[in-house]
Amino acid sequence: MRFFVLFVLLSLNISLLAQEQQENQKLEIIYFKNGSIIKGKILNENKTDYQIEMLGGDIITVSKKNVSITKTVNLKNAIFIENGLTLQTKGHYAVYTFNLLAGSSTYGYSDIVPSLSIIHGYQFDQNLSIGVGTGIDIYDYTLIPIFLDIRGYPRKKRLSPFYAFDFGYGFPVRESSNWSSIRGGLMLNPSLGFRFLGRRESSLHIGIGYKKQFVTRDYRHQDYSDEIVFNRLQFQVGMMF
Amino acid sequence: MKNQLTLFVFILVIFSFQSCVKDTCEREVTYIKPIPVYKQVAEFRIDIKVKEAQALKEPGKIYLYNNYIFINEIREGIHVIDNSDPENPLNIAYVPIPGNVDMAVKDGILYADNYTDLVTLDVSTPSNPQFLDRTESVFPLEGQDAQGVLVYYEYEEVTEILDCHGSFNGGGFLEDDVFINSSVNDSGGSAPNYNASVGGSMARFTIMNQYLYTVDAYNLRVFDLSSPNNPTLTNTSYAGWNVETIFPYGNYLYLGSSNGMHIHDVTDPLNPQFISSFWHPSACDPVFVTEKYAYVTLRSGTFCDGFTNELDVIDINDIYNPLLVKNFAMDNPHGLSVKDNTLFLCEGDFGMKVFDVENPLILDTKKIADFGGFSAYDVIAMPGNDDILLVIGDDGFYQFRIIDNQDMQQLSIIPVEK
Repeated sequence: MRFFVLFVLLSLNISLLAQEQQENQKLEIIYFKNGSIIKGKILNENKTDYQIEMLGGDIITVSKKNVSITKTVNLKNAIFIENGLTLQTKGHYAVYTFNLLAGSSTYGYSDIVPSLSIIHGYQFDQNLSIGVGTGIDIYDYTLIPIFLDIRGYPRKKRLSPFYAFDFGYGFPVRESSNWSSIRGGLMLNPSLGFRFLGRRESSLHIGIGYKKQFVTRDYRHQDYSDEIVFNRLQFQVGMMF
Repeated sequence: MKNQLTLFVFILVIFSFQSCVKDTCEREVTYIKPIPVYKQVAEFRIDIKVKEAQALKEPGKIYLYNNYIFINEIREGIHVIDNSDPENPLNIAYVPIPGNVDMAVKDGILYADNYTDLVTLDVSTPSNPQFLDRTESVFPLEGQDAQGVLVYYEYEEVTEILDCHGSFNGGGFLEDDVFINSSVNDSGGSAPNYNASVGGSMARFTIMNQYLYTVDAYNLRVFDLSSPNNPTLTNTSYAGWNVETIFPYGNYLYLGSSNGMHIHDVTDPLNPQFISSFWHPSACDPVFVTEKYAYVTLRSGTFCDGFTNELDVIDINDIYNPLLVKNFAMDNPHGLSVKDNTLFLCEGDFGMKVFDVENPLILDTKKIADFGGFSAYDVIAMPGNDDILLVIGDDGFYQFRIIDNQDMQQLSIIPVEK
């Protein structure tokens, strides 16, 4: 529980930091159903129309029926890229991923287990974001990792590779049974993949990684312990907001 | 469609690498590893000649013979102690006998094991034992190969990192599980009150009438001593699992083993008949038998196999059906001895306890004395009127005088050379 509180506090700090740095250089982007885009400022809107001041200063009225979505961007923290898409370069980020962790168990048979993770953090620039994360990894033992997330997206394009390095500590959910008890341990998780930018404030992540989790199993009636290392290939699908 | 196909191939590629990553599980285990010791036959089948006295180094069994005491030096030989004056015992001679751990004496002849052989020595002049004869290859070998005869195992504590699901390399035993080594355990001698020859309760040789009985891990052997110098192995029978001690009483032999006490009838001395067993959890277990009761000590420790430390009192009125009537928790009980109504119990490093066993079922409430501060693993209460206890421990060979069953006065010690 205390780790969850710690996580929330850390996340809040990072979010507040993000908000402080935002300035009022905001711009709306209007995406039309026919594919065209207008950048400007929505002055007024009613049930059927938007009144928009375009970048050049012209004011136009467009029917909502023709509009696909509108999006507000802060020009301090975002840039335009191809096809009128905007790319956030600074500010708060959140990544939610679903993972499959595949490998061979200690008994030698093939083992694929699910894992979820949630990361909140702050993007300093394209190449560096730092956040904190938690989740659940369901190996032979279920673990809740608390970790630091460092990531970057080197390409300012709709499709960009990403790299991420997560490291922290995995806590066992159920610590003991009648004959043994489990202690958590170090977790390491480098990953690589691609980010596909969407029109909304989100992007799809697909990646592969390697996840290493150390666990110690103590026996109640023996004076030895088992040092278990879960070594897994990670297949990752996630959404970034 | 193309994207989906790419994704599918991508996933396929990832999982094809799955077998390259393996979880690992390692366990650091400290265990006792047996290391075989080999000897050439010529190394131990030697002329046995008395030598001048030597200091005790690793004493094993003790054997009382008239005014003399024989103390085994484990796998090395036998010390001869002149105990005419228990306050001033004299270490007078040493007989090197390779592999010796057991002995018994009858009518001036000492029978001793010499690895696979049984040797006889004339000890009618105990200060100058004379080799008489050798009966070859009567005790089992651990093994034999190009390196020679495997005579015993040395046990070494080894710490290894092992796979959690694998087995221990080269056999061996977890430190806590402990084991029994068939050829050496603590101490003893043999034969009860015949000719003032008394062995401790941890003996593996004993003499009854004209017969020498020996136990090893599994077998009870009978040697006919009608030609005293040259005993003949006449019978070998299965004795039980990991038999450690032998105690004669009446027409019966009480064998202490790792998992129970087995009673054999020797009314027909050459053909011991198994009668009954009293089973107990695995533990080391010297036995001492009186008219109605057998006392068995069980202990945990490096050389036995169990987690129990207790003294069992077994009703043997019905020899066919020995019954546990009571057990008492102890610290680390080893050898024991009963004289009249007094039980002397060695407690290893905890010293010695003395109980009044007029009614053994309440012996815990009748503790007479508790002597600490020394190590004790086997005891002989000297027969006769002298209230003298012979005690062997890690530190040496002690003699105590029991004063009114209340106090123990140390008469002497022959220390172990450290």
